Amino acid sequence: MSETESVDLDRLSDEEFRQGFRSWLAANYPRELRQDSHRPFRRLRGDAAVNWLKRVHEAGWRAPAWPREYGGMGLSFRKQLIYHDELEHAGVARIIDLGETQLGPTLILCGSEAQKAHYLPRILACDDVWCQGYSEPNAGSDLASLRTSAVREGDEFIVNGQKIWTTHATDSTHIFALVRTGKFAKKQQGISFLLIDLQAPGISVRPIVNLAGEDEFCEVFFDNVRVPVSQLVGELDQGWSVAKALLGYERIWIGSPALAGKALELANTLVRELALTADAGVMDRLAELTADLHDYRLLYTEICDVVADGDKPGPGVSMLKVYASELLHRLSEFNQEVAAEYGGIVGDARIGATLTDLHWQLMMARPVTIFAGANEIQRDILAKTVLGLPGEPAKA
Amino acid sequence: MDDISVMLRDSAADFLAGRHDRSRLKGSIGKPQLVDRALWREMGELGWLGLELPESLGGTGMGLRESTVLAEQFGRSAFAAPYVASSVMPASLLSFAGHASAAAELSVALQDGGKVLTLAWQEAVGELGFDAPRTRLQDGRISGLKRFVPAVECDGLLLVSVRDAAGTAVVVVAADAKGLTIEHQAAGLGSIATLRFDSTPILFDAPLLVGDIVSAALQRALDAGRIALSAQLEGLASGMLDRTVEYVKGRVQFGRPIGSFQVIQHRCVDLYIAAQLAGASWRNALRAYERGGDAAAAISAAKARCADTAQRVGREAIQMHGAMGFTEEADIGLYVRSGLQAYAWLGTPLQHRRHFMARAPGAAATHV
Ligand SMILES: Cc1cc2nc3c(=O)[nH]c(=O)nc-3n(C[C@H](O)[C@H](O)[C@H](O)COP(=O)(O)OP(=O)(O)OC[C@H]3O[C@@H](n4cnc5c(N)ncnc54)[C@H](O)[C@@H]3O)c2cc1C
Repeated sequence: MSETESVDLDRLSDEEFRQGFRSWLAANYPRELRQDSHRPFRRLRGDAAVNWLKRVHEAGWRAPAWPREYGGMGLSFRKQLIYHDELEHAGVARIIDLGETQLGPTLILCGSEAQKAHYLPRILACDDVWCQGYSEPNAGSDLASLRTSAVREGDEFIVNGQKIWTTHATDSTHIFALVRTGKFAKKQQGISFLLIDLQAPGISVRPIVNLAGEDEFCEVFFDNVRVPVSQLVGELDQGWSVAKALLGYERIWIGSPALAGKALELANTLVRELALTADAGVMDRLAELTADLHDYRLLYTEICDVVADGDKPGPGVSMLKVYASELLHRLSEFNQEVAAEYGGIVGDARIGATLTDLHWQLMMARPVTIFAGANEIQRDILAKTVLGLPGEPAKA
Repeated sequence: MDDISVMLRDSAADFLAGRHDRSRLKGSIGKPQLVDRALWREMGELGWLGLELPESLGGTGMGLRESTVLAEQFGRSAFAAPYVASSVMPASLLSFAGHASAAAELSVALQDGGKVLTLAWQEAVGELGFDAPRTRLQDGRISGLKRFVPAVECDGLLLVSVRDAAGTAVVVVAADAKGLTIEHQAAGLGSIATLRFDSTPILFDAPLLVGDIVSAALQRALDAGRIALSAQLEGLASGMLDRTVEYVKGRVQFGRPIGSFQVIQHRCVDLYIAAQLAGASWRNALRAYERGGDAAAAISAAKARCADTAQRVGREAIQMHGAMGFTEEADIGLYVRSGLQAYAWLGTPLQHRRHFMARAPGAAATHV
């Protein structure tokens, strides 16, 4: 029996829960994998990620948001926030575990009983590792124009086309993909949500090197790939609403102040190591950034509290991602600038007693304003849905 | 622009279109890149190296004005050659040299591109100016530490600022000399090095420069370097903006080019204005330098402006390219990396704005 099964998590006060998770992390998370000045936004992938998640699972701390009947922790939203807070506090590296954060909850909402029974335990145990196949070369912000096709032939779909920017496809066993199954007047219709085994014949994966020199994202090509119809999630042609079902929650997690918090920690370290604490100009800017993050945490908490009290996340959550990602830009640029000549180095630098990599932190902050709905798109959403501004006039 | 500048600009554009293969710069993030010596020699053959040399040292009567034309073009194409570090600054310094035979020999090596020269003047992070160096010269050997030195080739020639009993001097050291350890790090599209001298012998038996002239000569070299680097930074910004404008014209989402969205258009216009300001700023610094008076405020204004502009345009260029902008395959990353090094080297905007404020005529603050 796992450590958490023996206690009723719901009966724990928030503070007891916090202390419990904190001490478990302190005792179990490997020191050398912590986020630090060298890798403030450290991510785990591949074996390192799987090994850690297995340990989390065995101890009963896996899948905080999943209901208990599916093997998750069934935490209240408030306790989920504490859970994430503690991960940040302990410097636990991020893991892009899309099985846990996206596919699982989607299956729980929209999947068949057979899909849930088969896939959910395998996600928890890391038998399957999932990546997300939405974007295509010509379907980025305009995702609904995607063209990868799935044509039904007997009990199978034949999938042809290409996905791109698929994060960690080379580390994954499966991909959940949006594919075109029908043509309708509205392009959001006729899209279906498919579960695809990456080992299937006809799939090839090509990693793409990013600006930090890492091969995180990939192209995934489908050439007459056969996918059993049992792998369709939700109804045929209704994949758009399946994919969007969780969007509000995603935008909350993506708006987390955690990355900015790590960048600010690095900023403080640099200012100390470079003996700039008596430099009024530098300290004014650091004060501004610190206050921005401080106030942002307040806003974030307010919005999360509303959700914790039972409301569904509204369109306003788009502002979280916009502000948090741009604050991250400003922080990473501050770090690069105050480090003077060190800021031009591409790779490791030792500044005083601190090992850091300013290029890495700057570059890894860059795409946060692009993925999960570029900030321009989020601002459009806010303008239309929150401020009620008019759209473009229809063409005469 | 005068005729010579127009001619230089066009021939640089031709050369870069034909000879500069950006794909060769890719796939090396984090690995120090040495100078492409074949290209460097070609630049020598084209007569582009050592433009600041006086006619007595084989100079052609051109100078920093012409160098900035080239530096701007090199920026526009994210060209990796260390033009500022290894042509502009050494040529400027050599023109003050007192050791005539050494200066003559070095000028030839500089102009024909046979050797890569570089200045080793800085000893600590954030040094803007040339203060009393701690590196010591004694009995023809030097000992000390120099940092953040760009373009150190293993057969390179180092122009090193030192101190001896009589005062400051500049000596020449071969990069492959005994008693010198070089630690390279990747920086921008090239490298920077930490140099540890431990009784390292100097070349030419005597210093290249001694006496009162040393500090003025080094200051002039730094001034020239900062102006050319500013031009290069503005070129980087303009090059990224050109590419981005082309990209948003062609990239279609929601059934139309993304460049037709007003938010994209306005942003491109803002970046265009920023690049124009950057150009005005470094051209003003160049004129101040040519006039020969106190150019400090103008130069600092330019370095701060151009570095900030390159940083800003880079950030927005990546954004407007979407995920494509975050790939090493797209060229934007090369521009951004090149810009990071030029931003950090020879003083950051933060430092230069302060210096500007302290030196600008009529400014309220006189600290720093
Ligand atoms: C690091 C990273 C990881 C990713 N991982 C995945 C993944 O695992 N799976 C997956 O499916 N996708 C992934 N993506 C892709 C991501 O979802 C897309 O990058 C994003 O949707 C934007 O699309 P695009 O890159 O094609 O840019 P484009 O849509 O071409 O946009 C380019 C620029 O134009 C702007 N723009 C577009 N439309 C408008 C408009 N109407 N008004 C104003 N401006 C506009 C954008 O905001 C952007 O600045 C990832 C991307 C990145 C950077």
